[in-house]
Amino acid sequence: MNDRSTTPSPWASARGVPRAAGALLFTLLALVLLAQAAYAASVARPATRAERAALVAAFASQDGNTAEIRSIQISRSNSTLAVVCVRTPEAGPEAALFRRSGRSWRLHSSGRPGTSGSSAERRLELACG
Amino acid sequence: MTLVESSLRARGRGRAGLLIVVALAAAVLAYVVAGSLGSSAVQRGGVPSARAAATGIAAQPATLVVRAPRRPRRAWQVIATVGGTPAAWLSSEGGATMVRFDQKLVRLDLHAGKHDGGTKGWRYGDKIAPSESARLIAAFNGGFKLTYKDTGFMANGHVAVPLKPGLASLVTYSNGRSDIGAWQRGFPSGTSPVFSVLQNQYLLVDHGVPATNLSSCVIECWGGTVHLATAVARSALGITSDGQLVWAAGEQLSPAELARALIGAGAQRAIELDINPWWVAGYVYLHRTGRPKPVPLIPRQRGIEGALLEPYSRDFLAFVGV
Repeated sequence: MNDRSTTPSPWASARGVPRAAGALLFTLLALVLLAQAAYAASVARPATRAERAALVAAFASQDGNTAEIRSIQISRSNSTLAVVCVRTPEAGPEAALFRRSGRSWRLHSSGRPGTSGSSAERRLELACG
Repeated sequence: MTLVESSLRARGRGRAGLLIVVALAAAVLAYVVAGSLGSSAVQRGGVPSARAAATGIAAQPATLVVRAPRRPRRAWQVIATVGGTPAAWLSSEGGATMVRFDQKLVRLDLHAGKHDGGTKGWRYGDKIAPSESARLIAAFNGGFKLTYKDTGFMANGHVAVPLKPGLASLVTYSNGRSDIGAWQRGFPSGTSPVFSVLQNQYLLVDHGVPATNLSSCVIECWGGTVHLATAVARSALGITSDGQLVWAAGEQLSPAELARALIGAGAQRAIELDINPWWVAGYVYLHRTGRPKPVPLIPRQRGIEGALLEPYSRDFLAFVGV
């Protein structure tokens, strides 16, 4: 019998631990992302083409950099509330919250997602992820 | 058969002789072509280095060292040296981050943006050029979007937006020096041809004094802001009495605070640059191996994708060691 096949090497077990931890971390990350996506879908829906065009124009009129827009979401509970999700190169994600008045959208607040406005507004901002 | 060839053959060295003649002819041709290219580059209005212009000889560029900036404080810290001499300094005052440049050692290149100016016809286009890369010290956002009112842009004889009298103008002359003043109000000086001009609004600072409407006309005179707020991300460039350029910017500044910071740094005249959080950014570039490594200058700046080393939509300013 080959001893090497029956006696576990200390190196092998040392390598196994990080692998298991890595797999666990990956699973947890995937779960968090899934939960986040499910949460976002429950509070907001993607903007329609017309809503998107109007909100991009409103964002640009506020001197926003439209190249940084990642997604645009409309509140499921309040269709006059929308969030433009922006990913800035160095400061990371940012949420610009808009309110609709008639046909026009007006910037209500902007900053780190989930940090400003009422609880409903903060929930919508968190849809930016 | 020529007399030369026949005599060479007669001596049994025909091929060697022909090679020498061809090599000599090629050398003469290369010399003539190089000379004509060099003179045409000057005629196209290339900006020579201030040092070369001063000495009249094209010397090897002095060693450029750019240091990683420490957290900015009120006292100026040297962030770049050219040939061992301090060329750029960093400071912070009243929420404004400031960088000062010695124009004897640093020149300013005005870049057109991909959308502001377009991609064709510019010596300095929508990203840092390979010719600037190895000597790059810092780069900053430019002026307002060129479709906004009270803007102008010209470089190397190519006009993106016509220049207007009275507007604050950042002028770079063909001798490599830059200055700031009100266009056609005794400015620019006629001593050297103008290479490029960026115009944006009116002078923020003139004769070392802030504009009188900084507090009374914030939005209408100094640009629309997010939520119509007074304190937003703002930037500006000033010039001191001894010709040093001072860039100042911050994430929460009013026009008055920006002007105060520049005057505190000795600015006699200043031009407002872009405003609002998505458009104000500054970088200093470290040189190790490969391409320059950008280091953001303004605390909490949103930043520019590609840090101006990649194509950018708006015009910008690059500061390059000479």
